Amino acid sequence: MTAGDHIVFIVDDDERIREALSDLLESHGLRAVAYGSGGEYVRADKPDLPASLILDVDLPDINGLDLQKQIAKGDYPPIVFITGHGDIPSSVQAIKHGAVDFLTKPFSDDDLMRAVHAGLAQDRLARAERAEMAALRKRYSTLTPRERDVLPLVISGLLNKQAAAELGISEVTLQVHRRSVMQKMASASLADLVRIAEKLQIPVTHSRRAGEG
Amino acid sequence: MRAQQAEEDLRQASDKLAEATQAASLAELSASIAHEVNQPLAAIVANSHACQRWLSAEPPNVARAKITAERITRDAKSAADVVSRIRALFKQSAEPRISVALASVITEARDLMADEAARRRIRLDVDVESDVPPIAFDRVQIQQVLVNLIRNGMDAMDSTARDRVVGIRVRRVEDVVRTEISDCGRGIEFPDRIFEPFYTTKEQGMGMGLAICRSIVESHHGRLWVERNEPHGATFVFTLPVEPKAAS
Repeated sequence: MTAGDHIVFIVDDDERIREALSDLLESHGLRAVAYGSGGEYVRADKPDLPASLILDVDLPDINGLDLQKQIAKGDYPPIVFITGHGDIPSSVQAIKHGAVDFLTKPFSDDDLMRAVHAGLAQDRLARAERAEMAALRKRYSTLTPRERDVLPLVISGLLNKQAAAELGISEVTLQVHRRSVMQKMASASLADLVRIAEKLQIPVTHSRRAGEG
Repeated sequence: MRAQQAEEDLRQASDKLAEATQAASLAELSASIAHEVNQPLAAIVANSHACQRWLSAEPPNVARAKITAERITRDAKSAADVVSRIRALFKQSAEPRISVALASVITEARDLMADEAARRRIRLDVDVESDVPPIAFDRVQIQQVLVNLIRNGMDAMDSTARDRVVGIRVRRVEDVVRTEISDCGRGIEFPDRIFEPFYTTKEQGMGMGLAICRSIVESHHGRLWVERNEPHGATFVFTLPVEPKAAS
């Protein structure tokens, strides 16, 4: 892992903890930036890199769990909670809302590093996923209205003949649209197109089976 | 006239503050102590690992390891400071021990707990015999003991349907004043262990309340113990000497 391809955020009101964790992460070759409060973290201009957030539950301005809820509205890095006195309800709530781990101070080096690395890996995946989604949406936006009609019929598994009849167009015209859809969506096969459509949450409206659709 | 009013307001505010501090349960106090100690401990653990890594790097980064080691020393000292502050808190009190009627402190404790007791549908029964002499003690500390024992009694009756009563009884027995706080709750399973620090039967507890109570009572040259009630519950008893020995 090189210094430029990730970042670990630390939010804790105790300077000793910020210092110690930054140092520890650095000794593991990880780049860290520390903030003293929830507000400071939220307002900060943060680098756009795969990240992991080490978040203290007991912050002076906001409870860490509330901050988790607040930032959950946007894209945020996976959270590793740390707390001075962990109780079961808080840890359950944190994990339910997607936290990577919930560590009680003092925690071991191994536990922290495992959680931080898991967080970074998770964020890399999430970012790749978001980038792919953005690309897919962009491709989808290039489809003509007619092509958008054709797409759900094709992925429903309808034969060309059936799809053409559904839209009241000729089979040849349908084939032209279908090729264009495949091309614009950069899908190599029908299976690929189905997978892409699923990601874009395009509903399968028709069933090929007799008696339905 | 206005100055008088301001003074009165101030007095009321400071009374309220004192009340709030006294009513703060020892459980909360313990939790905050744990937090105070845990912070430097967490920093020490992280710094030690970092220090180890700097030293085992190829080549060893001695300069960084040195900075980290210095932080370990600093944080360990601050953890030790917390511990000695707590010790000081319970060893000697800031307030001089003056002779007071225990009855008035008991009344105050009952008043402090009255709302909570009503909320939890528990009756507080106070019975102070008339021949109890004034004794010298630290008002705030004994208040803490009373509040903590009363609250423990209430906690013990959380799942009790029958008589939900915490009884507070004070009488003189020879050269000590004996205070009993009894409940009809689930009783005590290990009467010998409950005074040990960090021993707790409560899900949220730190196990410090009774340990601190005992150290307060003992610093007054008294004793604190627990007895089983028949058929239900427990009675905590503490004694305070009528003529306290000179503080050592």
